[in-house]
Amino acid sequence: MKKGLTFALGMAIAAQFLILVGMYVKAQVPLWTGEPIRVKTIPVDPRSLFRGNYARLNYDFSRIAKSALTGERPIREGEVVYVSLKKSPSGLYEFSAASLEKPIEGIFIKGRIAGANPWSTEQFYRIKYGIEAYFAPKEKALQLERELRDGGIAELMVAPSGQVSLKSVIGGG
Amino acid sequence: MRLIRLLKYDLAREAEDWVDDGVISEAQAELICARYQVDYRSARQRSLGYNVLVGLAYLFIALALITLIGANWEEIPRALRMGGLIALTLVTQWVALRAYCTGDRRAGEGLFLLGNFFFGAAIILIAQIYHLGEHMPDGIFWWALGCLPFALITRSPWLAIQANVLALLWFFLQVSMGYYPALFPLFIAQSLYVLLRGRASTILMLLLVVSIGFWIEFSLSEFWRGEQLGAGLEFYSENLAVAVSLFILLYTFSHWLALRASPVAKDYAAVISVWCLRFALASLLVFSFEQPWEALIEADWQHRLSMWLVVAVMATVTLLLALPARRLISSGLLYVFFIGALITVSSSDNQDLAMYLQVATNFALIGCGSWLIYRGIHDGISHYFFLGVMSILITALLRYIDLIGDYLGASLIFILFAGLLLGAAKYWKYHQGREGAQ
Repeated sequence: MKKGLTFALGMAIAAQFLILVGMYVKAQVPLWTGEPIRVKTIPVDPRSLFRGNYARLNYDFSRIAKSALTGERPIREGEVVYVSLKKSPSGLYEFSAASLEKPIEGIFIKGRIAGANPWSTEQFYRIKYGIEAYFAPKEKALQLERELRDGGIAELMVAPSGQVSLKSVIGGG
Repeated sequence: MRLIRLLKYDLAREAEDWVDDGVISEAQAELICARYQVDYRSARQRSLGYNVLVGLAYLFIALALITLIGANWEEIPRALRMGGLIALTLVTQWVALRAYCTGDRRAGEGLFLLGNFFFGAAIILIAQIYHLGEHMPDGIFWWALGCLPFALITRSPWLAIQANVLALLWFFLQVSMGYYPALFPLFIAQSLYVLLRGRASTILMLLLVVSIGFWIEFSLSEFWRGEQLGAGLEFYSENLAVAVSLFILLYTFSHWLALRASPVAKDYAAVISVWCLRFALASLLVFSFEQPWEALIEADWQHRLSMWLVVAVMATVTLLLALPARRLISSGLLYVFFIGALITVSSSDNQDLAMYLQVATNFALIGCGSWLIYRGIHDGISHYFFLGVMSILITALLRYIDLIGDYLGASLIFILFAGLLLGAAKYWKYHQGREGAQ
């Protein structure tokens, strides 16, 4: 009985360890297997007591026109959406197309619709990709805010599945 | 149901003082405590306060650590910070395991609680290092899921509460972002299991009831959203009807539970009954105004069929529980009034009906107040008596501000209240006289 209990609790501790390792690996996958791309970004500076200082990042493709997803099945909040990006002459990647189906080729990132009220007069969907927060110590966050006042460049790593990781943010947008 | 059931440990402490003062013997104290199914000797050893203080201290240690992570020190390399936090989690859990398996179960449970907080801090740190998104419900989910096995294995109510609170946090984060938290029943099941197989815990029981309620409501909301294009997860007018059904069901369930042999079941029954009563009076007070009725008459009621189906299922379960609990008349009457009001608001567009419904609600409120005063005097249940008086006085105050119709109408209502209260006072005197004569 006691042996079984010890074993069960040991397994529970191992499960917690595996969850932490799994989170680490999942976050690392795009950095290991992904392709680096650069996109334009505009930061806003919020702070969270528990999560620390971070710059909230906005991208041109954080909002896409509702017309970009017409003709497909009805859009709901939380829906997975794939946004294809194309390289512009400046070398930065920009919005190219959006679809509810996974594209077969090209650079695309996976996001989720964050607001899809059909009665809203807004002509856009807001999309979140999980790359909207850049954590930095307070001084660095404030310095970043000054440097990126007119926009900056975010370096992303995009895995073949569309999973995307934020690698760094630099000035010069 | 008397609230003394919820204060039985205080009663045991009082009895202890009476024994020390020589007012009663120890054997009599044991008999008094036995009437309320509390063990006089174990009550003397009870250390709820100690456990709560230790639990809160652990919570603050965790908060201190999480805010320290928030400072985002660059001086310490990320790998070292992450490795350190994972090691801290594993070491704390290992120490907890040693304490738990060597016989100090309570200390072990407390340390598991702390270890689970460190586990959450490690998840937050990983999210910070990899700049994971603005909202992280997935992280909260994994945190809750990591706590769940400890609750199941130890059957500790505190560990179950920790997992359930985290799961509720994840639930609301998911819902606010428009996702349906499909795995939430897993945490409902764990709380139910710990409640049935572990130590008694009123907090866990209430948490379970709240969790089940929210899960039912949001599952229906998700189902109704499927019938309506593009909408986010939100509350519909039909959700209100389901909520009322749920409370009537809970009220009947509490009376059914009160008849069980288990003293723990009786304690739970008292808590559920009190909260149902409070909910009923608060709802009646809200609906004693015209505007909520107008809003319900105006509402779309696009999901009538499924709503009636859910209400019918709940009514059936309620009546099945009401039979052995001998609450068939009260439950049946509640359903008759509720269904009558529901048919009126869901099938009519006539805004004039709102005033009649408002008047009916006011009379229902007075009726409930009078019934509570009667039960309070007749059965000697003080909280019923005071709830009854309070509901009548609040109704009077609201109507004074609101002035139904005109001054004459308000005056008539106040006279009615005065008559009711004087009648109650007279009945009290009569009841006292009768008891004195016996």
